[in-house]
Order: sequence, then C-alpha cells, then structure tokens
Amino acid sequence: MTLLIAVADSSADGELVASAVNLAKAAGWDARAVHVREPGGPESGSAYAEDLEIVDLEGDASAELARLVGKADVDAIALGLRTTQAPGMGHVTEALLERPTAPLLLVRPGMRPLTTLRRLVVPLEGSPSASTAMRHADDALCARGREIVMLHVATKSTPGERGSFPAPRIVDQEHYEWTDWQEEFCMRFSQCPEGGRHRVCVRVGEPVSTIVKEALEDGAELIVLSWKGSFAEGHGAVVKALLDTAPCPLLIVPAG
Amino acid sequence: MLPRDDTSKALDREFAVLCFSWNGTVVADREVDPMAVRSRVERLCALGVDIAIVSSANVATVDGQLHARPDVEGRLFLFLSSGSEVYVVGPNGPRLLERRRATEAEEAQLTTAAEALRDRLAAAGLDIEIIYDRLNRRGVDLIPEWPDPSKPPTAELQERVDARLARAGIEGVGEVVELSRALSREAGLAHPHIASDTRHVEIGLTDKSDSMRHVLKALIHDRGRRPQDMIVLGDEFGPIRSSEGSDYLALIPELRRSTFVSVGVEPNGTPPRVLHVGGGPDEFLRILHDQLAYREEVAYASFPDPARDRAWRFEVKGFDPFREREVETWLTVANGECGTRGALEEGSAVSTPATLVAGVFGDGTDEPRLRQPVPAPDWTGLRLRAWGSIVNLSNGELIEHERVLDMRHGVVYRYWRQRLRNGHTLRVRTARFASLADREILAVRAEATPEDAPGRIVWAGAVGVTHAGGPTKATEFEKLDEPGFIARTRGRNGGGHVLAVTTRPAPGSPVVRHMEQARDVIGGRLEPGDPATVDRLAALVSARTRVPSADAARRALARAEELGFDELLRRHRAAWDARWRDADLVVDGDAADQEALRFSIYHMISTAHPSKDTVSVGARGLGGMSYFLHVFWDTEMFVLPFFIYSHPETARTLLAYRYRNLDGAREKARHMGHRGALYPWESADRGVETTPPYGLGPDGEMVPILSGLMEHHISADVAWGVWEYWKATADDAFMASMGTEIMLETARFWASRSSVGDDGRYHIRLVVGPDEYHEGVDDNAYTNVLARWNIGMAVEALGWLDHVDSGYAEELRRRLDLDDAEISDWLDVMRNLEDGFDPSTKLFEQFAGFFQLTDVPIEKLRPRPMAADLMLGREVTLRAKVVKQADVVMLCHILSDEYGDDVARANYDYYEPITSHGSSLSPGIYAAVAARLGDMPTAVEDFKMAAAIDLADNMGNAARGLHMATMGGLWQAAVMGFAGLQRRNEALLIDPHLPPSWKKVRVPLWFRGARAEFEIRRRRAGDEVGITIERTSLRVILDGVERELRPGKHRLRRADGQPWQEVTR
Repeated sequence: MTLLIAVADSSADGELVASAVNLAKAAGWDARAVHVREPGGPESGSAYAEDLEIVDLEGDASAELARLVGKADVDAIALGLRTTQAPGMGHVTEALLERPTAPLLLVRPGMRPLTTLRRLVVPLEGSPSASTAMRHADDALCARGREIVMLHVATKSTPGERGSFPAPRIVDQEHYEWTDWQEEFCMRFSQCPEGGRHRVCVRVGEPVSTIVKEALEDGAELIVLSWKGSFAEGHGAVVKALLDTAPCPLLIVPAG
Repeated sequence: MLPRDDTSKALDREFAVLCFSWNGTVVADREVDPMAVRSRVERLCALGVDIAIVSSANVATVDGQLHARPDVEGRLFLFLSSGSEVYVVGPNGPRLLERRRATEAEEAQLTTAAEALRDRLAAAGLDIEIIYDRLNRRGVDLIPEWPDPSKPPTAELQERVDARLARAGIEGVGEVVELSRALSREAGLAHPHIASDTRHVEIGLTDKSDSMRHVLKALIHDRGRRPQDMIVLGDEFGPIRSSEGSDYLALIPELRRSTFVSVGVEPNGTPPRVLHVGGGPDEFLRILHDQLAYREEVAYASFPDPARDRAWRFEVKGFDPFREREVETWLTVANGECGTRGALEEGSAVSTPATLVAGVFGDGTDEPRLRQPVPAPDWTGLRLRAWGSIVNLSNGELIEHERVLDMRHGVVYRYWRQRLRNGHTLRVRTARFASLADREILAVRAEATPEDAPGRIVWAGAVGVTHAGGPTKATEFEKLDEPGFIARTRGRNGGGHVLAVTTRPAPGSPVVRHMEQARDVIGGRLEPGDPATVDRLAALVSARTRVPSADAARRALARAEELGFDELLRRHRAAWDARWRDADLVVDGDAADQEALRFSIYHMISTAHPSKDTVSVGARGLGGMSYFLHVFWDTEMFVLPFFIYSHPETARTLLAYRYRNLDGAREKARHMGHRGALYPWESADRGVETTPPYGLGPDGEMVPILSGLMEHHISADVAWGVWEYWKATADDAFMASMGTEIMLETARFWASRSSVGDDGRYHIRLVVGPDEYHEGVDDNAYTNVLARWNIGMAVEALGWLDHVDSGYAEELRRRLDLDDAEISDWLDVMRNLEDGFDPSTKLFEQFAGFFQLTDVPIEKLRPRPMAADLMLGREVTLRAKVVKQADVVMLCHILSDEYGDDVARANYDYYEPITSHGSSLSPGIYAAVAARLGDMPTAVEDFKMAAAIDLADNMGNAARGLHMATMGGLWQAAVMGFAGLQRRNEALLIDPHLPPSWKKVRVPLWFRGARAEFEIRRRRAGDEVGITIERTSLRVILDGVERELRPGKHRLRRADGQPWQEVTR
C-alpha cells in the first residue's frame, strides 16, 4: 500500500505531511509525495516534504492525482484542506471527492495532528454500504494498543437499506437488548482479523456535532468515514460539514 | 445392433448381480482407459450392487486397466485366470480370496500336453508357441506372427488362423481343441479344461465354468439371492467358426434362470439362452448405465420438496452476510425440546450455528441467579468437498442460493448452486427438521450433485462446538458403535444433555460411508447429474438436573435410524398437519399479513412443548441465546391465548410449569417480606428469580435493573392465564388440581403486598408496570386492577372448588393455612384498593401522579416504534407522559369482559398518541384494541408494525432470537381484534372488524369442548360469518345477547349498523 501525499507548497503542507506520514506508519504503508503544478502555480514542491521523494507533475491536479491512483501503485491520497478562515474544500478535493477511487486523507491546518494513532473514530449509521469505512479501518488500522470507536449516532430516521442495523427502536429489557445489539453490531460491521480493541458507542443527536464532540472527548486522532461520492441535495452533508469542523484528520473511504 | 423389443423388456429391470467378461465385452483392447466403466462400477457398488468380472487374464491385466476402487470392499469381485483365482476389490485395491494351485504332477502334465500338441502341429508344418507362465494353464499361440497380441480376436484374425491351420491340413480351431483334449488325457489329466479364443488354445485345470460356479456360490447362494437376480454379459457365447466362443463355458446349467446377454458380433448366432444385443463395449456401457439409472431414480425421487403454495413458504433468496444471523433465527427448526438455528451446514465466517435445549440451564456467572441455557454441540455441521476443493460460499461464484422454510411442515430447505474456483459447478440441496412427532429427533438430508464434470464428492459430518457459548462445564465425546458420535454435556451447576449423531448414505445414493480422522466421511466418484446424498440423524435427550445416560440417546438414535429419514419426515409432516388443522389462520387478500401470521404460528408451535412441564416458552424462543430462554409475562399474556384456543394441551402444560414452580414464587414473596406467591420476573429451571440486578446500557455502562425487584404484575398475569384457560377450556380438573392453588397464592401475595394509606384506601407502592419507562411508581393501574381482579377470582375459584369438591377444597385450605378471616382481609383489600379510575372521564391514571407529568409534543414520539428513553433521554421519559407500551390499554384488552368499549375507547384515545411502542409487546395489543374499537387505520398500522419487528429488512431485531410475545400479539390482533372473537365469561363474542385488505379470514378455535371453524368475510355493507361447530354446542354473544349454537353449520349476517341474523345460506 502506498499513500501519496499531494503537497501544495504551502505552509499547510507541514501538518499534512506530518499526519500523512504518521498514518502511513500506523498502517504500514509506504509514503510518497507528489507536487502537481497547475497553470500559474508554484514551480516546485513543498519544503515540508524534504524527507520524501517528490514527483513533480504538471496539469490539472485532480485529474493527475486520479490518474496516479489508476495507473501507479497508489492506494490512498493525502490532501490538505483550506483553513477554517477560508471555508470550502478547494477544487482539487472537491473533484476527487466527486469521483472517489481511493481513500482520501484530508488534513486541515489547525487540526489535532495525527501522531501515533492511539484512537480513531468510525461513525456508522448502521447500513452495510456505510460500513466500508469500518472494513478499511479493520484491514489497515486495527492493531494492538489502538482503539477503534464504532460511533453510531442514532437519529429518528433509519437507513432503508437491507441489512441495516441501527440502534434498536424497541428495547424490551435493556440488560439483554443492548448487549445483544452491540455484539451483533460488531459482528455485522466489523470483521477485524487482528482482534483489535473495538468499542461501540451510541449517541443520540445531530450527527455532525455529535461526531465532532465524540472525537474531541475521546481524543481521537482520525475519523474514518464512508463516502458515496455525491454532493447532490440530500447527500454528503455530514462529510461536507466535517471537512470544516472535524477536530482531527479525516480519512474518507469510497463506499462499497 | 439395436436390441429387440423382448430383449429390451428382459433388460428393463434392476439386477442385483452384474457379471461380465472383460476383453471384448468391456474393453475393445488392453490399451483403452475404461473411465466411464470405472465410475459406474464404483457407483453401482456404492448402491449395493454386486459386480463380478470373469476373465482368463490375470489381476495385473484386468485391475490394471479397470482400476476401480469402490469405497467398500465386498461388492466388486474379479474371477480371473480362467477360474483359478478370486479377488475382492476395495478402496485399497484387489485382495486375493482364493487361488487354485496346481500340484507338481499337474504342472508336468500340463507341460507334457502342451508340448505334445506343439509337436503334433509342428509335424504338420505348423509353427506355434507355448505360453508357459499362465496360472494352471498352458497356452498355445496358433499364430505367433500376429502383430498385436493385446487385441481381441477379429474376423481377420479368425480367417488368418483358419488359413494357417488349413495349410497344415487342420479344419479349424475346433480340431485343435479336440486334439488338445485327447493329448491332455494322454498326459494324465483326467479332466482337462480346453478353451480357445481363436488365436489361442489353452490347456488348463480350470476354465470359465469354474469362475461361474464361484460367482454362483459367492454372490448368489451365500447372499441369499436367486440366479434370476443376475445378468451375465459377454461377447462370444456363440460358436466362432469351428469352435465354441470364449464365453460359452459361462453357460453352466445352474445359471439357466440368469439373464445372459451378448454384446459381441456373434457371427454364427448365439445359444437359445443368450439374448444378443451386439454393439460391443458401447452397448455394454449403456446397459451398465441403465442399471445405475434405475437406482439413481430412487435417489432423485426421495429428496423431499417444500410446499408449492407460496403462502406456506417463507423464502430467503441469496446470501447477505450482513443479515445472515437474522436469517438463521428465522429459519430455526424447533420442537419445544430444542431448537436449531438455520445456519449453513458447511459454515461461513458469519454463521452462528447453535442448538438450544429447553429447560437445561447452568450458572452463567458467579452470580447464581443468572441462569443461562446450556446449548448442545452443533449437530448440523456437514463439510463438503468436491473435486478436491472445500465447498463453501467463498469458493468461487455463487450462482443461486435460496432457503425456504416450509411452515406447513416445519422443514427448512436449501437450494444452492456454486461455481467453484476450479471451474466446476456443484448443486446442493438440504432439508432439515426437528421432529414434532418424536421430539428427541433431529434430521437433515443433504445432497450434492456435480453439474458439469465427473469428480469425487464427499460429505464429512462432525459434531462441532456451539457458537452460542453458555455455561457448559464439560462436554465429553465418545464414538458410537456404529459410525457416529455421542456428546454428553453438563451445565455448570445444572442439567445436561446427550446428543447422539450419525451420518449415513441416503437410500439410493451412490455414496458410501467410512471413517476418516474421527469424522463420518461419505462420498463417491460421481458423474455429472449424480447426487451424493447423506442423511444426518441426531437424537438429543436432556434433563433439568443431571446429564442423562448415553444409552437414552443411543436408544433414541436407534429409533430414528430404524425409521430412516423418509419415515421420520413423513411422521413429522403428519404431526404438523394435525397442528395446523386447529391453528391455521387463512387470510384471503393480504399475502404479507398471511405470511406474518403463519410465521408467528409456526414459531409458537415450534417453541412450546405440549407435555413437558419443566419447560415453558422463553421470550425469544428457541432460536437464539437472547434473554437466555428466560420466561417472562410474555408467555401468559401474549403467547398462552394462542395455545388456549388452538391446542389446549400445550396451554395446560405452560400453566403446569407455573404450578411446578409455585414454591419458587412463594420463596420470592417470602424473601421480599410478603406472603403468597410472587412469580419471578424472569424464570428459568428452578422457578426462582433470575433477573440480574444490573445490566449494561447503550454505552456499556452499568445500569440497575429494577424489574426483578418491582415488576410484580407478573403474579397477576399468571393468575390471569389460569383463569383464561379455565374459562375457555372448561378444564375443571386442572382448575381443581393446580389452578385454584395458583389463584389463591397469588391473591394472598396481593393482599400482603398492599398497604393502607392515610386516605384509608389500599395502595401498592413502588412498582414497575408494563410501561417500564416509569419505575418505582405507586398504584400502577394495570397492577392494582389486576391484583384486585386476582383476589376476586381466587375467592370465586375457591367457592367453586367448595362446590365441586369440598373435600379437596378443605384440604387445600389446610395445606395453605387459609382461613375465612384471611379471605375476609383479602376482600377488604379488593374493595378498597386504589385503581386510579375516574368514572367521569372513564380514564385510568396509569399510576399515581401520571397526569401531572410533563407533556411531550407528539411529533417527538414519531416515527414509531421508538425507543423513547434512548431518543429523548431517560431523564425525560421518567418525568414525561410517554408510555413505552400498552399498559392501561393492555388492561382494557385483557379484562374486556369487565371494561366495556366506553372505558376502552376513553383510555385508548388518551394513551395511544403518547405510546412510543418502544417494546415489541405493544403494537400487537394496540392493533387488537384499535380493531375492537373500529379504528381500522391504526389497527392496520400497528399490526404491520408488529409484523415488522422480526421481519423488517432494515432492523435486524431477530438476529439473536424471535419475539414470541409479538407473535402472540399478532395472533391476538388477528383473532380477537380483526375477527372479533373474544371470550366473555363462558361464551364467545362475535364482532369482526376486518382490515380493508382482508377479503375473508378462516379461524379455527377450541372453546369449552367445542371445535369451531369461523369463516369471516366482509361484504359490501356488512359482515358474514360462517361457523362449523363440532363435538358440542358453542355459546356465542351476538349483539349483547348470549345464545347457543348447536353442532353443525351456521351462517350469520349483519348489515352495517344492524343486528346479526342467522341465514340458511
């Protein structure tokens, strides 16, 4: 596995590269850097990626990065987000999110940096398609000494997808129901081969603020989310909002 | 040559023994690989057919070419070396059984004779060769220059031999044979055996007739068969030019009733006994294949099929790993004794096979109260190998997968096609059931069929570890005398069970069984389309306080084996037919509702035991470990009515379980400082409280569990079950022997539990009612009203007992230390017990202070069902007018003969909007009450909500067990709500309110000794009820008036808003 860090020759590269390199270490991936010079862009790559081999390319950054994922042995891409003072995700990120082909690590300046990755949060709505993030977390990041928090935010609406397993709408005897529900939730959405430490956490509320609150309180260093690749109305609101508000880096995994 | 009609007729049957010569019949020469013959020989052997190959060749030649390896020894025999050797062939190849050894003198005589022949022919100018290395024979090659010694005789060879002999003045092979015979006698051989295959003349001590006599003895006489059970195939029975054909010697007189068939050319015809079909080895193969096909038709025909009517089939198509555990629960087969989840036989990463045993518990933790079931080892495990690969859903591509629960007959079928990574396709079918006819027996038949290539298909059965966990202290495995295993399992500080399992080839399947690494391994080399079918039979014997002896399971298994899968299935189906006759609700017009009802009824029947009063119906049935098979009020209030009206024997047994555990209830009451009987909120094997004091909440936090301490209405619920049963069945014997005592002891508890308040009235404080969002409340209306009712009915029951059996009534009083003063105290409590009822509004206040709680906007309780304590927060629901489940409305439902429609409507209107249905027990009861009150949109909505609890695509509620109370609630909604059949004292009220989508419904019921079948239909502006009554008269209430309907057919009609009228048609 290789994580390709797309540097932009900006001051934000420092936090991006640090978090990306640490994620690569945690997952056992290789890390490489690439600088795509867009028309009118800076001449060379970031000074913050001196320890990495930097490939310089020219052209439309999102197209080039997508091409690299398709052709080279690149399995994930790390990108910097704009600062909170400049909201919006940036055209490269937006373009890659609209046609997701590989997991994207997104790091915004000012986020809590990803260091040793002791804890990560995986928000799960309880549907099979949204559990891709959990499979990715299990496959790549499950390890001894690292906690994966399976965060389910219960809302009034339930996923209509077959095989969904949201928080129970009926709880006859809670001392049985919740234990049963947690075990089944884990079995349904996690197939961790490493036997890592998983904690199912149920919260009620508005998803974005609840995820942010939980990540903050848990001291999470990474939020892993499934993403279906659509910003059309009624879609992608959680991911879009988390790009602006997440307290730690986001790993966006294309939904299965 | 095509067979003649009479020839076809003669061959158109099964032969128990197939005997054939080798060269020319089976193979055209010694170079061909007879693969097709090999596989058919092995399969025929597996089917129990005896095969005899007769040849002058030796074992290296015949076995080296055929190389058949039957899975068992004792079916394939080689009669070789012209009658001098007999071999039996098994999995490891041929083994010599018998060999005739020539004496030294005989050897010398054979050589002398052969050399004399050589000299005579040489003198005539003929150059021949002697073959010395044949057992008990000397061969004389009449044409040594013939280029291919391995080829059988041909017309060309015959002509060349005849020409060669003619040049020496000899008239054909026949003359050489006669000369050989004469010279042999001269050499001292008294009974020389002379044979010829045209090219050779053999002088020997034995010949093919000796082989045939071996066949006759070993395969006909010793196996109790008759000669007509054998077919003998050859290619040279008739004369070849001047000599007899090589197979002529097979025509021994003792086998004159056998069928002889020639597939050879037979240029000079055949003897009269021989049917000539010609065609050579190809025709031989066809005949062999026909013999196989006759038997395999039996195998194909014997695989059972589910009901064709889709309304009886609960179908699960495909395979969804996310949902698999729900599916396993749905497809549980159970019989009250045990239940086996519908896990895949071969297993998968997401499978959780488990067999749960009713009534066998152990200590789950160090806290002895927490009794947990002790599951049995997994008996369903059947691993499958095909073409050397392990077969499972991960190997290659899933082409088709469907499972069908045949609810009519309690059988789960599976249909599966898989294209393996090796490119081959396999078709698999299984059928499993837990016998309802013999509740100690479980069975599965599994069949695997290669579709596109021959190959070895093998089933391997093993007893595996359960996935259900449980407090198992030890499981000891031992082998059965016959192939199979016994597993004795002991629970920690509890009961145990013995499981005996065996696997065997299904009748007619071309597979055989052998042991391999402690597993039953059954299989064979199969052609495409041929099924490898096995039957796995299991016997499970359990005991509540000990581990039964292995002999008990052995006996049960022997019983099952003696009957066999097909007969077990036939009896099982018959038992289900009988149960459905009195239980089936037939809904015309709404397939989804029909399915939900049959699914519910199937699982209720499966879960309850009709005669074993040490077990009852656990809250989640026998399909999952959830709720640890503990028995709650769900049984009496939700499930019991179904049995009361469809199978009273089972209802009686469920109540007998409560009677058996009355001491546990007395102990709980005493422990809490009360008198009488306080039934445990959760009951297992000992009748004592098994509710844990703490449990885990949504985030794994410890939360106190108060139901065991405060949810006391269960005692009145049990009493209600007793009363309902008695009134609906008129089972006075039960009421006298068990029911009255339960009523009295529970009434005594309520009198003890009540306390006088400052207002001079009696109160029951600190309880949890059915609405568990509010704990530790005072004067829960459901509890208090039912307590009052309990006292009143107990006194009435005692009065009845005084009347019918005063002696026993007196004895009971003495035994219970019950005097008139105490009864007077009870009546005082009954008259003065606070019930929260306001006659002006007709509303019950759910508990003291409920009406003062905070209102919650209705939209916050939508959509339903909703776990309001989770979504709103426990601190909110504690202080708000939010109701978890039918509480006051439940009271109106169960005491509908005391509280009329006006009270029911007032309370329904008030409580329905604020009920979140956060319990699976709620929507079914609400549906029943809504229907009774004519609120059909809500009734239908609630009914479908209840149906979705186990069956919704996106909730997964059933993964760990089914909701038995929901199922009972659905039945009550359909029968008491929609069909409007409700008990009123000792009569049956008829007041249907069918959903708009229901054209009609058929309801069979038992009521006070009468069997009645109702057919209720909605007409354009009215209702029509057809009633067929058997056995005795049925008392019904129509328009508030009670009347008696005599046995026979009745038809009632009412126009909307008009009274009922009985019509003639």
